[in-house]
Amino acid sequence: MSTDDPWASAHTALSMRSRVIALAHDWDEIVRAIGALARHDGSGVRWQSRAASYADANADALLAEARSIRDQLWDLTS
Amino acid sequence: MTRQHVVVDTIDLDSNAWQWHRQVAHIDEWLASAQTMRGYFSIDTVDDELLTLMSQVRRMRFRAHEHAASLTEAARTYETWETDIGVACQRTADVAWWLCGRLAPLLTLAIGPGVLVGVGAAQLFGAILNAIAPVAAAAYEQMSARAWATVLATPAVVRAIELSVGSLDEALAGFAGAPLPVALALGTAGTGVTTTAGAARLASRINAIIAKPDDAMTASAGGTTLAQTAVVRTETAPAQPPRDFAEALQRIPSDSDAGAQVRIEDYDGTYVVYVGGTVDGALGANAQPWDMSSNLAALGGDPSASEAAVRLAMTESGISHDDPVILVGHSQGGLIAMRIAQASEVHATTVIVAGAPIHRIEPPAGVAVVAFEHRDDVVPALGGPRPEPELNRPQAHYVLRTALAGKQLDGSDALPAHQLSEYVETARTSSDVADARLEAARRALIQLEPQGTSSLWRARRT
Repeated sequence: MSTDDPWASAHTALSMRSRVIALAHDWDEIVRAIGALARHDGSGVRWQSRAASYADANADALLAEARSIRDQLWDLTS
Repeated sequence: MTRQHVVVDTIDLDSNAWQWHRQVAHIDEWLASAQTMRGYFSIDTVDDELLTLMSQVRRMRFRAHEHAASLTEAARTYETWETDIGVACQRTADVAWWLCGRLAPLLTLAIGPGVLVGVGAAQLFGAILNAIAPVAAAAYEQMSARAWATVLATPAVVRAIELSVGSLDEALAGFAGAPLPVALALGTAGTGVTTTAGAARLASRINAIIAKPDDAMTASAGGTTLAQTAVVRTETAPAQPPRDFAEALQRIPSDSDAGAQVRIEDYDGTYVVYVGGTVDGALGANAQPWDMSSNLAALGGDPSASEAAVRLAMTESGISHDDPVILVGHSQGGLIAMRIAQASEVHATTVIVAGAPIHRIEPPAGVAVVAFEHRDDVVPALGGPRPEPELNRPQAHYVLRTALAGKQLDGSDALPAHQLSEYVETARTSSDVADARLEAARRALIQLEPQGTSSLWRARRT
């Protein structure tokens, strides 16, 4: 890839940024879906037991990690 | 997050697990998409940062997958525990009810007068209140209706009723003086000579004899004294097939269908037959075939008026014994659907029932049976306990849920968890559950031709 041509270089940078933005948007969708899962959206009942509490804690941890990845991805686009 | 109810429903666990699996698949797609960008960037630092992020995503994907697998395993463990505890409870109930049967005369003498006085006092109180303060009487009636609805929608009460129905034969054996080992050996858990269905059959035949004393001989032999019906087609319209279980349940005839109890849809030679629930709560031989007489007969395995009416409507719709039939029913309609699926002259492929007392009816081999059931609905419990799973025996797939958890009851409905609308909601929840047994039934609906005709049928006892 040549970097001599300033127009080509600018075009590459723009294209790169838009691709990372697309990736970040896709990841946003995943974070939203995991958030809904962790909140039990759409479920008529809440469950409570030692195993289910563990499962809830696990879901919350996964959500936190997904959010951290999302933030890093958006940092990459800036 | 507010957690108010100690409820673990496998349907919710399964649904949650399936959604986590779906997110794992999305993460895989995201990783594949990110992978195509590797080496594309002219700026090395961006490339390195993306690489680091991808490793982080892979680790997270692994943990999400483990989480989904744990949820699935938890659902299966709860199912196993439920079955084991159910067996233990049923054996205990068998012994307890045998004892009650054995001590029935003594118990009647001991608590009978107290019960009679209590019931009489409550009636008298209601009558006096009605005479002197009608407003207070209305409030009292509403309060007692709410109390009854709450009691009947309590899962523990429903379970106790289910166990008691399952031990009815042991109670009768005890009453007849049979020793406990004999009662247990003859009962459902033993050789199955005496069963709950047998007790229902006895009650059904006594009812038929009382309703039509002239036909006592026929009724005592399980004949068709109360099962003669006539049907009339009330409406025909174009139809498109139901897309899922919820939509199929919504098409079961209800009050809005001008008294029709059966709907039949024809999709180029494949039929969907929808059967409604009990309309009249009376015994005897009224014009309405969807009554308690039909419930008792169907529970006992005798011909019932509602079953005869559905068969007649099927014949008049042109359904032959080779045509594939999907049966869908709510409450009594579910019971009738199972009975028809058992008939050799009907080529039933799938049965979908909601809130039906079908526990003691063995599904015919090769027929996919999906049964939606609420733990707070007393009607399925009237069919006795669910059979213990046995290898090489066909099993219905039960989708269980607690419908009213956390809801306030106003007493306007005696059996709120039995409402068809609640079952439609449960069926909707099950759409996220990936289960081979559910898939077989779902496929039957999906594979229907896109255009068909629908007809409504109204029946009456003759």
